[in-house]
Amino acid sequence: MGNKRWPAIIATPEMRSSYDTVIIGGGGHGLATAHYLAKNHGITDVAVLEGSWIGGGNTARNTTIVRSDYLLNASFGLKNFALKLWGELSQELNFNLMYEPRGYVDLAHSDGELEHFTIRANAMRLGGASVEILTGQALQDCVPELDLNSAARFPVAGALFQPAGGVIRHDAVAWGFARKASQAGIHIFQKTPVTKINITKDKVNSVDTPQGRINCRQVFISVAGASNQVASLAGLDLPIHSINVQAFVTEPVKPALKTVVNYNAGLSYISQTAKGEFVLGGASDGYNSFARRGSFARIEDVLARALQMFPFLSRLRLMRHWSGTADISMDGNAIIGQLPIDGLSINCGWGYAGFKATPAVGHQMAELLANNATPDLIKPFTYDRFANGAEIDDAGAGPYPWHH
Amino acid sequence: MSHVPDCRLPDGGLIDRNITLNFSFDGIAMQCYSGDTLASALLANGQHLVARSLKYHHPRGIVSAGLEEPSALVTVTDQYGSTPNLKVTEVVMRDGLTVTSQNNHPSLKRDYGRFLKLGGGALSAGFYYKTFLWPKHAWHKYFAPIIRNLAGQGRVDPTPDHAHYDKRRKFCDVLVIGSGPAGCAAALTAAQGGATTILIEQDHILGGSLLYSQDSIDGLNATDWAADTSEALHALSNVTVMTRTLAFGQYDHGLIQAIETGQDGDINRAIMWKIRARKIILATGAIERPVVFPGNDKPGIMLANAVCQYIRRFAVSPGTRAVVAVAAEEDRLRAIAAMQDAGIEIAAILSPGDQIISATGRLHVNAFTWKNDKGQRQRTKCDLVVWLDANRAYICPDGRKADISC
Repeated sequence: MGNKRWPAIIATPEMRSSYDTVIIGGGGHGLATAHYLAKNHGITDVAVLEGSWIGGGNTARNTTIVRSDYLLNASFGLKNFALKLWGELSQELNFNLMYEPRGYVDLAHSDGELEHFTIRANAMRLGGASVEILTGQALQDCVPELDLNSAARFPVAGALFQPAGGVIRHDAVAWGFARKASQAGIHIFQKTPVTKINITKDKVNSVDTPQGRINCRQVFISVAGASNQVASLAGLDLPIHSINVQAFVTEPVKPALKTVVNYNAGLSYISQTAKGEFVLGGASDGYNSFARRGSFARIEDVLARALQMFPFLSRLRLMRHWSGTADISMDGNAIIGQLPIDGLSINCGWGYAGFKATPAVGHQMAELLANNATPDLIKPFTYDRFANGAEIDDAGAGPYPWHH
Repeated sequence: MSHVPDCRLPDGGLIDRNITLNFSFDGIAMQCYSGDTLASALLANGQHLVARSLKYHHPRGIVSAGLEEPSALVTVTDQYGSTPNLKVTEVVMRDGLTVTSQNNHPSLKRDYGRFLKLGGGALSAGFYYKTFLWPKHAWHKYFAPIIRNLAGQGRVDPTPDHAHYDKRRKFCDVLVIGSGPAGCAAALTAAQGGATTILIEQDHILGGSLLYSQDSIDGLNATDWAADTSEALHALSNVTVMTRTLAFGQYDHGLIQAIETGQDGDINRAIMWKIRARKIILATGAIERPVVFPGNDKPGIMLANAVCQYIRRFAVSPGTRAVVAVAAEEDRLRAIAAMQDAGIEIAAILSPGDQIISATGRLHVNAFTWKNDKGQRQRTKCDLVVWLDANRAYICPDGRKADISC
């Protein structure tokens, strides 16, 4: 009994000497692109090259939250499209991604902030999203566990509530996309880092791996924390800073929190997994680093804020904490699309906000790779927007990656 | 009132038999002595079954005697309210604790969650990803809430915690983590050489493995040497001894983070220490590696040094008839000697190379089956299995992949 008749999630084919399309990076975004290339465009002459293993990168490290509460049309559009896709993906992939729209609650701590949230909510409504501004008893009813009464340092003025926001089983996203793409005939290679991107006359023609050279028509780079290193193989210097971001979980307890809640005086977001653990995350550590370990100061900072929302958390202990490399661009938004080298495209700069957008990026990038034309939803995220001054700065924080 | 069996040995142990402490476990009044941990207190009262596993609700007992305890998690209620998921091996006993088992309904002995196992282990690894898919939205609306309620372990007390906590800093030349023979000797040597020294120990007394050792150091028996060294360290003005303090991580630039747990009468329930030292010495000892075999999680199956520790340090007998599956000779002889001193009958001693088949029993291990080196199948009744296998010396089971659910 049990799982004896289940085949491996992905096949282990022989590597061919040539593919039409090479996707560098077997994370959520790369695998989603592979899946949609096969499903929407019938393109399966594709190799996905993963330097480590499937489900071992930022797809495994994030805090599993999905939502689309962004102010600017470009940011909102892509993430809200993703939210729509998330709702259908378990059935489409025949793999339970455990999408639970438990509701996302973004807390405002002053009237001014709540007003700003109202503008954001209105922008979202214009884009077709369902969203509410909650205050007082309505907020307490939505999040009964929230402490609204104590003399907190930053009292809660109200909240933006997105009912479709929630959590998704993050590992299942990587495995589900990988399995479906592999079933469609796309080749996925683990432990296959790209060591060289070969370019002749401004046109990409092959990549080198320790297992040999792969000739190809086009290359798509989607490697999150390793974006600078991989882009440098093509001689590109990206406007990206690499900053570490931490997350942590408590021991598992019986259900004690339904919604996903974010504290905005500083940053601290929290949800409870199906297994019962509380997952917490916060802002980046604020300094550039490729080290996958973080400072204890950030952990204390995030926990202090979480305790203001839910004082009962002081009775629990952290089981694990970890850190990953976030690729953050100068306006805090992603860089998606074609690069100045023919046949080379990229998806990077998601920082620690990329998980929620996974299927939308895959869907749009597949369209770009299939048609050699940039689809509307990702048009604003071009690589050259920094040179043109067309930044997408949701936070209005200016060109400082650590502020995003 | 229910009968509570007394598994306390008539003498010995580093417990104070003049100070009796009262506590309750799932509503049954029990007693123990000052110096006990909750684990030794429960075992002294014959309580091996203390928990249910996270997913299949298997009966679980006490496996270890330290922070490596994987199974025996309980909820402890004191003046601060209730705290879930505490390892019984880490709770130092004080008077008046209310202890409750977790993750079972209606009771620890008759947990309906065990029926999850019916259907032949249908909920094997990866099961969730392939099931509960249809109809659309059913996962969120119906299945997830059911699974969420079955998962989790303890219940968190939703009321705010009124205890005080503090954050403090310390600096020193030499920081020693762990107070076994190596740690104590290192701290003493460093301090006598003039270095400001901090010695951190998670336990409430110094000594580590010395506290249940029969060895001798400098002509003294181990426990006396530990007591003398502890006294010598306390007498030195340049040493700070921090017991009940768990160093849990080293961060960039040598920052050590540690949690000190308060005791009765302290203002703070816990203090978070940030310690920076010129030199850090890790003297944390080892954690035993168990053998993996079907039924290995039944109450009554214990690590070899844990058995020694319960007998020698806490004067508690963890069983009456034992099977010994300890591959390393030194550990095996130590465990056998301790059990013989405690009057535990040794039913069988496995040799390295023997093939473990299974341990059986519903709420407690009652029999053990294996094949000896001649290929003969052996089975014996027992209520204690002592296991340890650092180098995978035992074959397990039958050369096939073990089908073990947890």
